[in-house]
Amino acid sequence: MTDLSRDPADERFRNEVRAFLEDNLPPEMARRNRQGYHASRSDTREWTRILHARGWSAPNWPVEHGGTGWTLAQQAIFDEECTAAGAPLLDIFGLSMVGPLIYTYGTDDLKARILPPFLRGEISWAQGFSEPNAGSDLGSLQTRAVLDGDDYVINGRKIWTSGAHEATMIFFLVRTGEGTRNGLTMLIVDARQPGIAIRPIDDIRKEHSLNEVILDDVRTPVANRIGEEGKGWGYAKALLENERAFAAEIPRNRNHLALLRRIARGTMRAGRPLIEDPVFAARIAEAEVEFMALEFLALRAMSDTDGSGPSFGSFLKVRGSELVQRLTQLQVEALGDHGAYLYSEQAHMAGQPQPAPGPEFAPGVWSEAMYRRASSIYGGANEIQRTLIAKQYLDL
Amino acid sequence: MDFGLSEEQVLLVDGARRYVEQTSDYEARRKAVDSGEAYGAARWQQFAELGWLALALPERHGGLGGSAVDYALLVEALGAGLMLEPLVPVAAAAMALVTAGGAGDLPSAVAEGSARPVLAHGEPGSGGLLTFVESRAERSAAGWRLTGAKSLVLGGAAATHYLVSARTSGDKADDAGISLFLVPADHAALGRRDVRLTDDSVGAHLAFTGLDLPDAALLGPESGGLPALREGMAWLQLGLHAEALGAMDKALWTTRDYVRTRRQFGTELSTFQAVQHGLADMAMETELSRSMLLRLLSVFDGDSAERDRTLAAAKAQFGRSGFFVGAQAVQLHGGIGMADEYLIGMIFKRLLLLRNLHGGPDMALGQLTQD
Repeated sequence: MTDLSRDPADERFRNEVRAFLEDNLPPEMARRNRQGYHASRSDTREWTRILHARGWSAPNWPVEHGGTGWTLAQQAIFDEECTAAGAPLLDIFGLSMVGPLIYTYGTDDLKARILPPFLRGEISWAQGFSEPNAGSDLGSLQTRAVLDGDDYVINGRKIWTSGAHEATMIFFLVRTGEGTRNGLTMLIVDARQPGIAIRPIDDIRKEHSLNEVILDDVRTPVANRIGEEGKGWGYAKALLENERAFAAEIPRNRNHLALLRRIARGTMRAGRPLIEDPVFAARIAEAEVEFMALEFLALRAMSDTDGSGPSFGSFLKVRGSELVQRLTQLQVEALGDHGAYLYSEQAHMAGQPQPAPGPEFAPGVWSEAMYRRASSIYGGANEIQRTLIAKQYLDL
Repeated sequence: MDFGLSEEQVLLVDGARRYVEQTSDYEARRKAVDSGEAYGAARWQQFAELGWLALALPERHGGLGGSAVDYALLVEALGAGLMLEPLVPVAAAAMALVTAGGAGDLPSAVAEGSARPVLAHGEPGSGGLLTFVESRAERSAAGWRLTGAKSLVLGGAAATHYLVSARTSGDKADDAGISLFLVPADHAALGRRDVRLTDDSVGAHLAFTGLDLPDAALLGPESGGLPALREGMAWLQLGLHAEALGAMDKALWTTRDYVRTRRQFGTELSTFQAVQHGLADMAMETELSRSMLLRLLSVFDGDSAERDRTLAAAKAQFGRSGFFVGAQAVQLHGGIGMADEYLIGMIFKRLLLLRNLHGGPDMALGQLTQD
């Protein structure tokens, strides 16, 4: 029966999360993470520990693997409240990607060795998929793993590896045979070992988030393989689809819409608050309309628990990433002259004075707008997503 | 939330789809248009027999007491057939009548198919602002005397009655001071011109130059007609969006089927990535619009600030998406998309007309900026 009302139990849950955040999120951590800058790994680990004490460090996992067992609606509420409160992002690579692959396809030994310490905040993950000649086209991967006794020996080069310099473990998609469907394997590798060289790549913000990872006879035990050899392509696809309803980044977009309004209210243009400029106000309204529709599309995707409806994963990825780009771009524009000042992430994180003057909301805005240019590239570029919509939804 | 359909809703939608498939071929629509008739009287009677005219009306008014969701599902299914019949304008007026009270058996007559009241609210200068009413009604010896004009009255040529908004006090954009009057379409002193609209439907343009009405023509409280008017306009917009969604969906899948079969450069159009991505964008706009309609339905029951806000958002969404999907369907069809006799052009014209109604999407965006 069609029921478009909100579940009162969800609102009670929201209050519970809010109260928890109020009592447990350290204010200084919230200050660091409320702005557009990205959570440091130490904040993420500390926050994971705090959540773990309450049993909440894996909001999207089933109970039997140490997760919360929350419904998708509850997960969305938790995300929304955490984002609004300024909680650091959790380790998405672990929570949404490699974790579910391990508990779905991994051996009992692997689960026991990896999942509990991760839930305690003791492991930081990086994802090693992209290579210089393989971006969205993972079938062109060349990094190769060869079996040698009980170990795989890996040689090759990965690139655009976010957070590799802070990671303790990396999950790699590597070549163990020929072809795409049966030639790739997923391996977990200890990031701190001889043979792994991590070279920083300054990103477009002049910050260090990206890396090149060079693997020179790197060894990892066969016991660290996820699932079967040669099945890595299928696992990678499952992992990307795992994000489905969350691809629209509803909490992030909601937060950016609120920040945009805050900036437009707090910025004067030609003698009056920018929000009173009808042209700019209309552009905010347009973005809000897009958000309102997207939020309900995400709810539709989430409510389709048996997968009987059309898959909206690519819809949400395309429009969610385009919206976050649009909102952050509008924020930079709204800052006016302050949108051109280069603020310092390090100063913000350390609570030190900024090298440029400006309102308290200015640092981090440009940085986030730049960083989000990647959101239409990673996870399968939006051009790929449009082709997927043509194939899957339109059956072309 | 549960977006699934109940058994009754599945039956309702299936029935309406079947009806459209069996009766709404576009050649027949074109013949009806050419014949000059304002609506299909025989089809209207079928609508009544199928219970569609009674669907959302409360049971005490001879209706079936269906929900706004039921209503939207029905209209979406009928929207794929680009019906010429004024089901949506009449349903909206009936809901306004129910809210206002005082119209006697008229809602029941709507349910039976014998009466077709429509709202006559918009004026040439109102630009979609709900409270902008310049038409005036003054007390007279006989009751009321009406002066003013109403433009683009949807369903106006097929109507049996007009539910006319007019000022009994206040200035042109005031909230208070609007009253609702019931004017029979055959009133001898009514200046009425039936106007063929750009989408082939027929509307009306009304002029009142001292039109005399009895006391009983006033529905609801004097100068307190806004709540009923708001209710009626909310149902009108809900229905028009649902219709637009049905038309967009039809345009999307018709275009998909066309590019699968049309060959150029030695291969099907569907193999070109530019064409695939154009269709993917149409699909996204259509599904986002469907999502916005569901969002509107989730807050539709009862007058509220959130409903008003979501109505404005839906207006902006459907205006933009509807135009995009219609125009893109013409583009991907190429030459045949420009032909008068072809479905895709009909859909585009309908979506364009709907986009620009009630002040268009800019008016809606303006409303969203006002808080």
